[in-house]
Amino acid sequence: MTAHPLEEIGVSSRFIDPCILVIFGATGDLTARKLLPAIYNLALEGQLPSQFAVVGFARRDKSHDQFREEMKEAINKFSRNKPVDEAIWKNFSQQIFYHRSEFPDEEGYIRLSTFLKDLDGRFGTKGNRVYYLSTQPRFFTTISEKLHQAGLIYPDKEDSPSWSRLIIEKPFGHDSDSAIALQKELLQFLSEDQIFRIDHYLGKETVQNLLVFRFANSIFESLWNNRYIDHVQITVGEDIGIGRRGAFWEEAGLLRDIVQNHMMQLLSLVAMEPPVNLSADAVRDEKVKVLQAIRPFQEEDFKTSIVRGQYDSGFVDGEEVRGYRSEDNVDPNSNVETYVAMRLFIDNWRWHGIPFYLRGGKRLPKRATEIAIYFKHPPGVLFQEHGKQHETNVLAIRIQPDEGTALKINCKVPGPASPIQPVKMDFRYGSYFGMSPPEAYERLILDCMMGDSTLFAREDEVLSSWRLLTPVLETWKTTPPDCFPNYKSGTWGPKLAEDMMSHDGRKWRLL
Amino acid sequence: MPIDIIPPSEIQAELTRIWDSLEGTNKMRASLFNLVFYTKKKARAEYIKTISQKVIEKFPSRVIFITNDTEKEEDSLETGVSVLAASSGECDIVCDYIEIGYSGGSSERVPFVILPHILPDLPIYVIWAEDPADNSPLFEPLKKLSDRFIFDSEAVSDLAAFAQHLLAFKENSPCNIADLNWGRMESWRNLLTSTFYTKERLARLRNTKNIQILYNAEETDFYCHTRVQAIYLQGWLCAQLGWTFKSLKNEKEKLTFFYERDEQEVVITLYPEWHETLKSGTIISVDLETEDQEHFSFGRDLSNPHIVSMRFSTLEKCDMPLKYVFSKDDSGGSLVKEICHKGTSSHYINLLNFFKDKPEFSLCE
Repeated sequence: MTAHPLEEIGVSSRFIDPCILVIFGATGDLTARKLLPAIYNLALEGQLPSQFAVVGFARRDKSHDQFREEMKEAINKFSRNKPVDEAIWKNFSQQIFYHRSEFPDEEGYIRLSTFLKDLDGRFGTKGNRVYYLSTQPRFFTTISEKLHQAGLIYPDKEDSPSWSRLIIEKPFGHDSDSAIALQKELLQFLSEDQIFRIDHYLGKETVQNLLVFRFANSIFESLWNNRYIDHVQITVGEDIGIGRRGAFWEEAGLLRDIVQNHMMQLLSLVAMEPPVNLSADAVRDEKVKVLQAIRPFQEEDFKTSIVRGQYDSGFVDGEEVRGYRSEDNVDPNSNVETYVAMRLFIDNWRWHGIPFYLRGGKRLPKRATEIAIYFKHPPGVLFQEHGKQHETNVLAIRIQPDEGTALKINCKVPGPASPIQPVKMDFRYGSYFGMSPPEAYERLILDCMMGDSTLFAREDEVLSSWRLLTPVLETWKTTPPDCFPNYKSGTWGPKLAEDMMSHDGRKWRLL
Repeated sequence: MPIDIIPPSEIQAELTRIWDSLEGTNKMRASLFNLVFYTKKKARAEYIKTISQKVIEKFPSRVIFITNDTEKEEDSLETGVSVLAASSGECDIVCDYIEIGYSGGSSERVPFVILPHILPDLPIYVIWAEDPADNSPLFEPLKKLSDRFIFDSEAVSDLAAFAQHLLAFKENSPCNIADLNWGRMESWRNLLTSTFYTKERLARLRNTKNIQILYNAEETDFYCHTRVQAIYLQGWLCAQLGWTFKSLKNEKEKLTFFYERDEQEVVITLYPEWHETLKSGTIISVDLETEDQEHFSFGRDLSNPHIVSMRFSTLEKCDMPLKYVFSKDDSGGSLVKEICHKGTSSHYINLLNFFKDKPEFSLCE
């Protein structure tokens, strides 16, 4: 293909086709909190194509102007750039529209088709479409089918004059079978290349920086294996409870909500081999290999390698908080887990024998997502104090908050004696780069418009992860816990999780 | 705040003293780069200082600011140190600031003052805010030190000579080059590229007959070569599209370039306008007319200059105007863009090659 004469290859600016973004579930929380603020920020920073429009699709009755006003209010409340820039808003708001329809209503899609064609004429959007399904997963198939029937999903061919893409939000199924079924259903109407499964963790700058950190720095990659690394800890902790999402949590639980997606994504990025290039498939091929190499759980592992927990009442930030069973819309005898810790092994050349400890939980002492790489002790012939080994090197990659990287090294305390003290070399993203990083959704929506699926989960990633975790769900279903609730809100989880670590002669990192 | 003059030998000690005095406060020292600024005009020095402040807000860096006082005849060398606040928050980010002022023959001493204060392992970016043709004795030593040399063609009067200088510089040095004016028109380059990105639109662009570019000719004490961005924009288009330069007519305030493409003439006219509220040299509008009498008109909204409307019309129809948002071009924004650029822009090199053998372009100012 001949290069465009005005485009400079390798320069950061990316050119995006004209398109219309249709958001299903446009009156929901996600649209107000994340999607519209993200699109507004893209508009504010001149990153959207000039030929662009947004259509909110939902069942509530409202006018374009009402929807615009609600979105303006949401942007003022939730955007990283606030208050709304009136000059930008004046133009941008005229590109926002509302379409009322029930999700299963065929007629609604026929009207949508006419409306989108009209917008194509007004905005020059050339028939290109991104459909964002910010809805409950049970509507994914229905909406895809109706879009297909209304001719709003085009065949995925290279010579097609227009393109159509579909973004879906997790959960992608609730176990292995349902994930396979969902995929089968979607593939009746779309090709895999048209499906963009969003995991907003992958849109975070620090998660993207993981690849740069690993593969653009030779010093770490050469140590990144079972010869030098003792173990890896991945923590996704939240201090908040389940809020008003009791009904959802009763169905989901933490394993489905966090472990199956966010934690598995972090794990695969930490453990993957270098991809042959940075194309979407090359990166995702390597991630899948990691997931496929994780040793499946055996029966005895359910007792020794996996811990589940549920928070009781307690104190977070000095405030008394309720236990899970007392939350709204939660069964007072619920056995749903709000904490999971597990020990995993990746059976490949690089990671053989190295445990990966994962823990995630609600109502922990603080919000913290971190990957900690614990290196092995050096040969213990020097600098041992009374036979006691000094601390090992730890490389901590903080995903959120306070994004950055810290390396713990040992250092001699000044003076005639030689006591060794661990010290920390700390790089903080926010301190070095003055600019505020874009929200994950900004990057991901833009990538989808460009057809770049690198930061979206591929079908086989999702299925590999479910294959590993479905036996856990099945076992838990048949063996209800007898100790729930088993950790106090504001603590780092149940004692069983500490026991799992101490059994291995290790302990969880205090964040 | 004026900085106390100290002997060059005291620079490090004074920095240490300042940082010791800040111990226990919430100030954190940070440096991503060594940023070395060089300028010689006093009025321009103030402007460049505001730019350096903007840059460190994005990229906290050690700043070494060199001013050559050309009005002073005797030899002098004055140094001072301070710290600059890069950002505030839970923890204030603060950067080292070293100021070096000199005149006359003291220029030879300046590189020796700079050298011990370059932070090792960090890239060195030199912002040369003067004409490289001035033969400053500092030019070569700084060239040897730097990883990226950023020029400001605003300080230049002969673009052809400037292009030759920069190409020779690039030829003889592994250091990357950049230009603030090139950065200043990046939004326009992106807008034109995205507008003419499809094959069909590109064919229309190649079929252009007339282009009119309006720029803000309002001068300030530190910005007087207001045509440069407009000249760059037309030069970039012609260089990338392979149009051949034929002649140039400079009448009163209007500048008309004649080009040839496929034996057809393309006429590009630069018109000045004067707006106090806009930045000097800013491109205000671009109008393209094709052989088929199709018009592409891009124009800034003068009350919100970062918003640009694009109108497309033919003899039969007129499309709805489209809005495009330029990133708000704060002072220093173009420098930040140039710092972030990977390597040397190949399009910029094409532009320099396009300018280098056109002495007519020296008439542009």
